[in-house]
Amino acid sequence: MPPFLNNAFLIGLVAAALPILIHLFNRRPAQQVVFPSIEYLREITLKRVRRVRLREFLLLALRVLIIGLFALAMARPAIQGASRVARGSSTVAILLDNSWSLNAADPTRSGDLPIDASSGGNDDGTCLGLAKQRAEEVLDLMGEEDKAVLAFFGRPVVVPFQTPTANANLLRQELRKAPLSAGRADLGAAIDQVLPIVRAAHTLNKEIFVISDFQQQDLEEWANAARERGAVALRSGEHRPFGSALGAAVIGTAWADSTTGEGAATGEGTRGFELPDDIRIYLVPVRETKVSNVTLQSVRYDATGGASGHGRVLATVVNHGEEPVTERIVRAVAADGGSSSDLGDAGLSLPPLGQSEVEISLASVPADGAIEVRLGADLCEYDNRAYLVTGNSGARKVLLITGGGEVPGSTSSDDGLFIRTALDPTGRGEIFQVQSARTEILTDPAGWTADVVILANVGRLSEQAVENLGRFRGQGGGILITLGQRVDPRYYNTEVLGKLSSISLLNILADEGEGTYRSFRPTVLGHPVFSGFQLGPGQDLSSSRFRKIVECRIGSGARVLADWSGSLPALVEDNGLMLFTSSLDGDWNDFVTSASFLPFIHQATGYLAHRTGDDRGPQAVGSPLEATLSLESFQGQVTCVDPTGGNSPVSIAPTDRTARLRSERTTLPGIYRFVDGAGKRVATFAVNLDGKEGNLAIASKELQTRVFGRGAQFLAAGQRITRELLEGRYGQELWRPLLIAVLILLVVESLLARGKLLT
Amino acid sequence: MSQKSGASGAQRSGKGGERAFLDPAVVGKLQRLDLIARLVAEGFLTGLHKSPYHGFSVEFAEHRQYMPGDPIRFVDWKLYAKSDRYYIKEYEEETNLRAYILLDTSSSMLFQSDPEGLSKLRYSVSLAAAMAYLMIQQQDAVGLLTFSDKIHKLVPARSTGPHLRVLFREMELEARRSLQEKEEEPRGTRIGRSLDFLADRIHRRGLVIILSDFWDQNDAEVVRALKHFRHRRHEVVVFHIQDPAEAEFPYKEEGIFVDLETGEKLNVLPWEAAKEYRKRMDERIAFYKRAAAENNISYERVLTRTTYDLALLRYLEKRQRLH
Repeated sequence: MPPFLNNAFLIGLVAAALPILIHLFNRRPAQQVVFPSIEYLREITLKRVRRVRLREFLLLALRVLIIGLFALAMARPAIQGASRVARGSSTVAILLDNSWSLNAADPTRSGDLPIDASSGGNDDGTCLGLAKQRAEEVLDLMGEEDKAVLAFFGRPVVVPFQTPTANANLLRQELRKAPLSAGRADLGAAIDQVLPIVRAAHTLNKEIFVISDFQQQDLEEWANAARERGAVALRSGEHRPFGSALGAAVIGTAWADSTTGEGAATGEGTRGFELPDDIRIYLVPVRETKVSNVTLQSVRYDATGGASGHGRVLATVVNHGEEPVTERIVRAVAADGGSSSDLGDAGLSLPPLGQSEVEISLASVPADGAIEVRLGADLCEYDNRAYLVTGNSGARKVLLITGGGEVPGSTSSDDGLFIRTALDPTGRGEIFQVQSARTEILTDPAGWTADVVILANVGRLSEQAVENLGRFRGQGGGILITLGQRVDPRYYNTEVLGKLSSISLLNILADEGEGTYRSFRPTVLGHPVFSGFQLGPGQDLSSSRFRKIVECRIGSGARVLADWSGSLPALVEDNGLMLFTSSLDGDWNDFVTSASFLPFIHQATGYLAHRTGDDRGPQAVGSPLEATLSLESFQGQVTCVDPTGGNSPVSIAPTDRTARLRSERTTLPGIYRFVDGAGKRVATFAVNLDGKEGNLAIASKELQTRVFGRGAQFLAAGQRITRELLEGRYGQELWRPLLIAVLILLVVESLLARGKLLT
Repeated sequence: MSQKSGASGAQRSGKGGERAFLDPAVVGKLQRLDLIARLVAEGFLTGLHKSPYHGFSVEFAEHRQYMPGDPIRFVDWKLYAKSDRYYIKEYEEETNLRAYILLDTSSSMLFQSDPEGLSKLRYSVSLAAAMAYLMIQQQDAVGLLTFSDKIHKLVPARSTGPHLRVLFREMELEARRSLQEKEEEPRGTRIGRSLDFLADRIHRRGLVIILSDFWDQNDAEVVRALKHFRHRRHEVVVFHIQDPAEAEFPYKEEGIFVDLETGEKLNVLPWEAAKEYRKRMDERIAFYKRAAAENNISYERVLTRTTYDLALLRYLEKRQRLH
């Protein structure tokens, strides 16, 4: 059966039954007519009726055929194959990888170094230039009836036209001005956007060209995403687009719970992108050899180190090449918008595929704290720079309070051990800087600073401490309270929760006996605390067993985020205060040893920490920049100044005494500044690349086949794609001959109906 | 519609009430055949410029009152002198004309396309009755033969007044038949045999009037039988009685046509058959006309909507030829 380019019109075939229906509808039983003699009629009728019946049948058949063929013609059937000389119309989707790994030097131009795309240069001599050249070759083959759609799939994915266009010049313009993206490749999102456009096209040929460097880690992620998508589909029975599946896969890999991660193995061998059979996919690599590359993976500032007392910069450098790296210099300079000055440097040597942390002692610190770290040039310049802002490592400060009384019959030696280990496993404070302290610290507000205060099984607090906590929360700080053996519900109701929230504790409920326990079940699935967990309604967060909990009652200002089985509140939020109604010290449950604990405590603490401070630690490209500032610290409208000096608006969401400032999504690495209406700099941010993209290893053919399927056609990096493409487009549409047949049949029908034939 | 056509019939005659009874639509409303016969005949006579009643008897029998149109020479002037009234001398019966009316009573004669009109049989009976009335009025002997595919009744020719009632009774018996009353057995048509039957039985030269729709399987046989009469020197008047629908075939919708004589049914597409049917019908009429002309037979095609005077005139012409 030939493919139909306009399937919707096939429903018109039903209309072919209309003549038959009309015939049946109009068919009435013949009336009896008495007549003197049918002598003549008999002779006339015997030969005529047969002819008339034949004519009527032919007319009916012709009418059915005419309508049917017309509907078929409208549905545009087509035949494909090399035996056809004619060329069918084509819709071409060009998916061009403009992720920053394409900044690598064009391997066909040996010796050239790429031009730094971030500084506004063109992409001649880079793989991106080569990719655009290949895309133009595809556009050169467009005929009059062909249309094309473009997509650039370095994050954020850009699809300039939502409908295929036949204007090749317009497409060329878009192609040539497409910039290098500072994000990683996201082919799934691009296919999500382009596939419906291509599917809806009414052309004989539908083709997708993926022009990319096909990095190994990208394809591995896509393959994992496909596997995860298969597992998700098995679990939920619903289709998910590639983009969301990718996200799910990343989260699922990192945080897979021992009980909910069972689906991860079920999709082995699942194809990455399941494209319809009528869409051909061509894989066009821009290079086929691995390029050695050294990437500045991450940088951070340590104010306590350094020989000169100005602190030090710690830079993590990764060698993705199979050759050792020697005598490379890592240099720190002030990134103050032009007047760069050296702040310090350090030498570097790396083994093949090695990684090292380099320490640069700073001779001075720029006034705004913005520092650019540079690595010596190599074939991919884009990842040789990283940025940081001193004064804020980006890590959240967590004050973990324990103690406040004796623990009757406690089995744990350190109440906060699990929480502290989960929040800062290396002790270097990369994500959360955890300060453990006893309750007494809270009595002096000048003695501590924090974004979040965690009260972990705290027995008693002084009145002053509770008052300070209330003030801390009023300034935007977050409080997480977990319960335990030390907690006296009545005391908490009167002295702690009664002053800080509308929550009150009731009885301690213990489930004694083998096999008797409760489970932790989120109820507000969309809450940030549970984002990233693949949970459906009524599903447990983990298989952990909670044997002892504290019953509580919530007031009007609070809301329950999770339940214990039995519909008792498990996690309650009330205006910056979060109460977990069991312990997080291993005494009352085994939650702290489950895989879900780490993402849960990270999400909960991160959520509470966002109530204060800003995100001035190094951030990845593609996210908005946010800061919480006091209302007095800025005036008028705030704008965001990007690394190129361009301005973009900043949204301001005021609260009681503070305001939450939020920029648009960042698109480039570098130093970003929030500047208020008076020209005063109110916040500075460092935005860096995702270092993973620096690994320029190319995926094997097997991996590519696994991701794109066996139907994908591989083109060599240096091969022009003309001949293959044209051969693939052989074919013919049948609507014209069908319409001619309809016209001929109409004439025959007309003659027959007027009695010119078969009389 | 009947009223309209009746009115138009009266208007056509232009002679007032009596002439209205020449219209079949008017006559169709009357039941008594004797009344129909008299009204039709009188209406017809009113239109004539001279009386047909003269010169056919020599022995005086009685006087009768002068009727408009009677020749003045038959007026008994002596009696006028005595009574001051015009009387015509009438004479003893001495008929020199014997007429036979052959009435086709086959089932096809029951056909009637217009519910307000007359069936062919009723039309024929009315016409036959009027002619019989006229004949008896002028002392002619009239006989009646009813037939279909067989002979049903033969009433020998007589010229007396009571004989007219006999004829009327026989005719009325036939006229009462209708399509609504189911026939015990459908009657076919075999004209030739009936004509031969009668031709063999009447030896004296006379007038033979045939009223039939001539739906006979064998037209040549019919013509041969007509020639049989001519061979015996009879004058023959043929009235080919037809319903307008039968002649014109005005049907538009597909139907199952039922043959009145055989009961046979046939699915007919009128739009396909009409043209050919009319052609064949015209050919048949032409055939009979030609045959009649060749044999000096008076042939008249009469539709059941035709006024009676036309047919009666044809009879009168033929009768005068006999004298």
